[in-house]
Amino acid sequence: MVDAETKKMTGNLLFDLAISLGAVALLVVLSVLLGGLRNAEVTLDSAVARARLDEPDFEAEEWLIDREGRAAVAVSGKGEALLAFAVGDRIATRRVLLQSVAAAADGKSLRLAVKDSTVPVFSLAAKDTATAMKWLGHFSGPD
Amino acid sequence: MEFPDVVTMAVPAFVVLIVIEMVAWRLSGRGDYEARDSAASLIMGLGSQIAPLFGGAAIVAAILFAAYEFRIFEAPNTWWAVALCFVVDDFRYYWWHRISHERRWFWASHVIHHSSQHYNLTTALRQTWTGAVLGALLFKAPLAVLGFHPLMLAFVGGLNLVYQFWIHTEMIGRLGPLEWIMNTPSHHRVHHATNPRYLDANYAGTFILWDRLFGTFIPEDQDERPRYGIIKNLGTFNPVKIAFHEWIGIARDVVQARSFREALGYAFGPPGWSPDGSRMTSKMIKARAAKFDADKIPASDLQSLPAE
Repeated sequence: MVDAETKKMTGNLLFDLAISLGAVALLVVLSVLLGGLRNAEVTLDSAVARARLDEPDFEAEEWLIDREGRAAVAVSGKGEALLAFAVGDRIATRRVLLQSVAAAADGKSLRLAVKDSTVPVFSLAAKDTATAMKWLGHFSGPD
Repeated sequence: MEFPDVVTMAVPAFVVLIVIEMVAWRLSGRGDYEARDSAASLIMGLGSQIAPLFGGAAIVAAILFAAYEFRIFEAPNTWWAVALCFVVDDFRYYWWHRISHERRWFWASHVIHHSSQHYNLTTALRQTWTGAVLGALLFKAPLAVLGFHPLMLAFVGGLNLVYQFWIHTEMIGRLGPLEWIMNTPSHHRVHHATNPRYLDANYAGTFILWDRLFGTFIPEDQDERPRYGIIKNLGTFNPVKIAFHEWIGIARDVVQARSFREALGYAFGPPGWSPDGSRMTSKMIKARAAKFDADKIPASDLQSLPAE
């Protein structure tokens, strides 16, 4: 008797779960069809504007803007960097110490990572290899 | 009097209202309804209904029924007792919600609800997967001791949750005299905003009176549109990372703490607390904003920096 009751409850739960997943899928598909997959473009204007809102006391000396518009990074004279990156159709930022950024360059591409699971590892396409190497120097420090 | 599961009953209405809002949002030319953000919110909502089945719901029920055994009074099973219970529970919600913003341990659960940079009806469903047990122990159990039956408490709690669904929208403006008494979309937009002047405000569930009474009310300023999200906005739509990121942050900080006092500060201090002040609490952010007037960006500044 208990087994039958347990089976019925489990069945109801699974039915509710299936209905709920169906509703979630329906809503997500609808939002996609309505144009909900647009990505924010990170430009100098949008990155600076966001930086001024999130970190108004960060004094950027120089910006590197990803040529594909996915991310940007700025450095200050105080040993800090400001990362700005697209999250869907919005931009998020992180202010970090230069020494906490793991950086690597591959040709024109500069790859940046920080120890924060909520910040994606991202690549910035610089205009040329020399620029990527120069920026790599910001994170690697003097030899 | 029987107490139905109002949250489950309301789910079809939630779905229909979200569809209406999505279409209205598009037709009104307000931009796109971010699909990945909405998906994350909906999955968090679904997860919040499943997570208690792993033991939390049973523990909460056990706590409340045990507390009810020590009741001082006994609220009768009548409509007016339910109405009284709703008001008392809303008062309870105000304080639970306030501490959920003011202490990092509680914020670690609640941050999930604020982690979207969007504000729409799907945001209402972006709910925590953790934190129910401590909330019940500290804040709901006293109501059971007062004499409200656990099933009545569950019912009014569900009503409160359902009420708060529709206020998560930008599609509704101000609502006249209702703004004095009730929590409204306008008041709750302020609560979800990260603009420094809007931080730490409007904790109400149903009645905004609590905020007016305890000095945490801030009205929405038509000249300053809310910016939604959290101070360090998430760069991910991964539900698992959304659910646990702040707990991981607490664990990392506590492990690296140099003293027991520091560990306590990291876990139970205000969100953003650090021993050397290198991070920002909401009070520090407000003070910084007052200094930098961050929300007014001169257009000339946008072109003034070198870029490569």
